[in-house]
Amino acid sequence: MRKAFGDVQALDGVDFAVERGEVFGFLGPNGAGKTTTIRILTAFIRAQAGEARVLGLDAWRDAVEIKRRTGFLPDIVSIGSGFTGAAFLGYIARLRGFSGAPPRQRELLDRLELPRSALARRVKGYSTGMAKKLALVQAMQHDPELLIMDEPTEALDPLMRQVLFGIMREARARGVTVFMSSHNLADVEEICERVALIRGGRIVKMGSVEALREGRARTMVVELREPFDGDIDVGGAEVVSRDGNTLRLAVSGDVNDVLRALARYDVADLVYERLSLDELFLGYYAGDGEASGA
Amino acid sequence: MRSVFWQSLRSYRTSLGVVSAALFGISVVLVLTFEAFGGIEGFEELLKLLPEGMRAMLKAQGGFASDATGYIGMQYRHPFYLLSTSGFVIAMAAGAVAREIERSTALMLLAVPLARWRYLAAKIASMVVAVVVLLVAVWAGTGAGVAVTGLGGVDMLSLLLVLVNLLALALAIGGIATLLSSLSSDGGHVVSVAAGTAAAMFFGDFLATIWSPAELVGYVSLYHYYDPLGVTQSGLPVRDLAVLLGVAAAGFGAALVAFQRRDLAA
Repeated sequence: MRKAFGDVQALDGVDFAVERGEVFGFLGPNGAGKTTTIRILTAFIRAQAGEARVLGLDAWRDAVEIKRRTGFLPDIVSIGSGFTGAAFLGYIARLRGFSGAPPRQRELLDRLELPRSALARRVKGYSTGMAKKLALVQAMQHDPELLIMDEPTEALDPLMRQVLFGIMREARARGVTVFMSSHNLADVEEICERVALIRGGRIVKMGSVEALREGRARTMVVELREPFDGDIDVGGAEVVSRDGNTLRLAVSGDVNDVLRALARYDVADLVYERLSLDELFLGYYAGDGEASGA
Repeated sequence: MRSVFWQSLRSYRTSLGVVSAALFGISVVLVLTFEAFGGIEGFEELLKLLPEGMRAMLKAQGGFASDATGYIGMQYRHPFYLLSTSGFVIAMAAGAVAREIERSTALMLLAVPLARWRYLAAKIASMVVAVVVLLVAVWAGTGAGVAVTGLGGVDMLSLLLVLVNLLALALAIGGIATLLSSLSSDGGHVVSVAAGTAAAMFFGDFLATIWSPAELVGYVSLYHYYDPLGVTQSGLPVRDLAVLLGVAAAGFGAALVAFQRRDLAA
């Protein structure tokens, strides 16, 4: 798919496929093209070139049928200020053809901890997190076969994030396909089977999270109890910087080799940081001249 | 589609109630003023004293209201009526699309299995109903004023035809505003452009009435086709009604097509 907004090329040949029944992560920094891709899939905008097919149907032409079978959580949760939470859910349910509460509404409200008292209040008094939970309920209450979620964990506290992941895992077990975007690698790593990295409107890499990490260095910060002059053996890792007692290492090989090497020193503290999304991207871009220029 | 229609009306219920009450009240007062002017003779004397421009604004430059019906009908050209109805449809039109996109509320409301044109059609239907409610308030207010004063010789059916003319005018403005809204993602921009267009057309009609070289300008103004005094004197002109409803239908139709096809990006 290609899409430009004026002079800005938002998507420059995005191409990927999501298998039925999988949880697929769509990762990228802000402005990478995640939301543009999602808005094409949900028929808010139309690709200028290429084709988007959702559930085997044309994303633009068959939008009504796709939306019938899909739940959508947008990146921006904005609900008319005149609604109470209950009125909003009821309105969305009626627009989906339900005369009463949709099948999963009650369960989702309970699990996401949206009590009746909260639902009776006007949405304009909601915190960002509560509005997000309400938006999650509207996306999932009709038990769709496809969930498209743009930054689903944004504004959720860690507990609610785990609740949401639980709901998503159960949905996957029922055969629901989940397509979620995020700029948080930890979220994607926890829930997604496969991911695609997008940057500059192009898919940089696609595969399992482990496959993406393969061969990419992770950072280890080692603090020694005593200053250490001279060369230091860090088991094949690369010393990126050295500041007094603190060493910053780039570990790309077996971490056990590094730990065995460090055991010979008096280590006060050690932090083996998860590879951040930025580092992952930087890693991919370092050796990819074409992508770097995108 | 019915849900969108009712929800749209519900969201405007407070402002619709307030404006309807105001229109009802002023319509009562306008009937009460008839006797205060000293009846039709007193009013004719007053009109003669007015500059030609002010008479043109009331479309009374060619002749005065010869009875109470004409007097009341002519008052339906009062800017309060024009501003209330035009302002209401412009606000509803801006809220139908542009403001929903601007506030990003469209992202969830349009993620449901409902074709965009049907969503907008429901909003347009609610706009039509809202204008009818406003004009019923005007008519009811006039009726109440007539009942209170015991004013005789008021042809309420004739005044109803004037309000049909005003309904067509409001819908024509609503059609233009809805088209603008369907193309925009900025509610404020829609309101300012639509209100500016309406004001320019009102001025164009006024200019055409008082300055003969600008007579042709009047024909491109929607206000040219709203002549309450003429309606009370010789009935509702089919041409005027056809022009206004034609503009409304074209505006709404183009809006439905544009909204169905456009990108919805804030």
